[in-house]
This record gives sequence, C-alpha cells and structure tokens, in this order.
Amino acid sequence: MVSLFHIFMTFFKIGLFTFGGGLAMIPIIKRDIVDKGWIEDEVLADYIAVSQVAPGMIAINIATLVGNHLRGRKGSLAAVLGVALPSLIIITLIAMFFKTFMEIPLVVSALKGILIVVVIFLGYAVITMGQKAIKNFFLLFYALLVFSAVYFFNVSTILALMSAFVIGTIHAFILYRKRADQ
Amino acid sequence: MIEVIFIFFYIGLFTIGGGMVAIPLIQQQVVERGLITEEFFHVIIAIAESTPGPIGINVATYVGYELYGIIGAVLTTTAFILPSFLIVSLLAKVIIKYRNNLLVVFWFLYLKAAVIGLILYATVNIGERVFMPDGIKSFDFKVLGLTALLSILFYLLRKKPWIVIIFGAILGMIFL
Repeated sequence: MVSLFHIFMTFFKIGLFTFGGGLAMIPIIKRDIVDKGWIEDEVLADYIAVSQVAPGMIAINIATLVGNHLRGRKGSLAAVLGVALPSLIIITLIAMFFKTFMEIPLVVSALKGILIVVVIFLGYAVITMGQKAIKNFFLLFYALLVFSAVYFFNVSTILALMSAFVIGTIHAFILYRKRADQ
Repeated sequence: MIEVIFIFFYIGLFTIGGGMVAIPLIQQQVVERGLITEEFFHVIIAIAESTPGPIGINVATYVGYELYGIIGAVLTTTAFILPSFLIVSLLAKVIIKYRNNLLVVFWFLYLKAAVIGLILYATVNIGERVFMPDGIKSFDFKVLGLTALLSILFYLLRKKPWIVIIFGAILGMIFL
C-alpha cells in the first residue's frame, strides 16, 4: 500500500515543479504513481477526463481523485495538501517581501515584460482551447456573446457561466423532443 | 473577511476547465469590488504565472495575503480549493457515470464555449493595459514589437513556457 507520506511528497513535488499546473502535472504522476503500479493507465485517463469537466482547478481535481484511489479520504487530503502547499509557501514569502522590491524600477520593468508573456499565454489558451471547444458557428456566436456581455456590459462572469446550463438544457431538450418525434 | 472567503469559495465552484478561467473570475470579483487595484492585480498575475504551482491557487493565495496577511492567504486558498475537493471526492462516481448523459454533454458543450469567451475577456482586458496603459493614444509600439518577438519565442519553446517567462523578464528590464 502507498504511504500517505509518499502521496503527499509526490504531489508536493508536482506543486513545486510544475508551472501553470493542470495538465503539466501528468508526466510526474505517470512516473511516480503509474510506473510503480499503484494505478492503471486507463483509470488515470478516466480521472484526467473527469478533472477537466468537474468544477475546480484541474490540478486539485486530479490530486483529489488519485489520492482517493490510493488511500481513500485520507489519501485525497494528503494529495491536495501536497499540491497546494508549495504555492501557499512560495507566494506568501514573495508577497511578504515584494512591496520592498516594487520600489526597484528594474523589477517593475521585468514584471511588465512578464505580463506581455501572460497575455500571449492567455491568447494561446483561447486559440488551442477554442479549437477543441468551438465546434460550430452557434458555439462561436455564443462564446463571443459571453465575451461581449462581460466586456462591454459588465455582466457577472459567474452569471455568464450559468447561462451555459440554461442554453445547454434547452438545446438538449429540443434534441430530445426531435428524437422522440421520429 | 467572511465575504472574501465566500467570494473565493464561489469562484472555486465556477472555475471549470483549469486555472486560466480563474483569472477573469477573480479579477471581476476582487477588482470591481475595489479590494485590489487593477494595476496591482496585474502584478499578482505576472508573479503567479512566473512561480511554480497551479496559477489559480497562486492568485488566490496572493490576494488573500494582500488583504489579510498569512491567515488570509491560508483562508482564501482553502476556500478556493474546497468546492472542487468536496464535489470531486463526493461525486466522482456520479460524474464518471453521467459523463455521457445527453443533458450533461450539452451543459459542458456550452460551458466550454463560455469559458473561451471569458478567457478572451481576460486576454483583451490585460492586453489593453499592456498595450495602452492610458487609453488609445498611449498605444505602445515598443510593447507591440516585444509581443511579436516573444510570440515567436513562445511558438518555438511551447514545451518550456518558463524560459519564455525569463525572456519576458529580461526583455522587459532592457526595453520597458
């Protein structure tokens, strides 16, 4: 049986060494957990799929599912603590001292440069995620509608996400009726 | 403080499809309520993206620290993680079972499209500040040049995004 400490350490490493989190953590899970025979590849694939659709961050969802698979509730707690702790420590340390660094013009310039990279990452996410998610013109129209509502009319982002449940339900219902008619 | 904890719990609940979505959600809730200035929020995003760990957690921790110190950092991070931890650990079997249900499939079809709309919103929102800090007349062609250069670098080094961040920092120190 996998020790809780091993679960914790594996996910701690993931939190410490993966940039951006999410799917970047999968190679480490493969090496430290799948390759040791504690979880089957197909099960992990199932968990990854669920993590992407369940609410919450992918990294936390994968940690919860893998931890739970290995050692139940305690395992999932060990995994989630492991994956979140490095962020908590590193960011708190940076935040504690950062106000002093903010006075240095060079640091401000470096951050401006990094923010450009952030915009590129975000734009890239729109394109790559969009290619998978936007399957037809109506979905494109809907995505742009969500964008416009939030950007131009300050509609709440949460409300915008809720609209997906309403439209999804209506669409599914129409399709269901069509099928019933045939 | 309870309000802030509640905000992060609620953001955690609606962060569907990864940390990138957390950026527009947190921005709207935190900046528009006047808890943190937009300018400082962008600093937080730059730091969150250039430090290890899931970006959503990094942003939640930083905002918590900024508002209420170490206790705040622990509380916002916990509040942010809690919904997914609870839902996934309690409902994993249900989610796996109903993943192919017609209704659930359509919910996610539209949710994923909405998420693209929101990430586009974050891109435009932050992009505006980066390219024109003080309205359209302040459009910065130097930034445009750097963006082109960094985009090419990113295209070549997609597998190692942290190198692009280092280049971004260096180029920023030289030109900005």
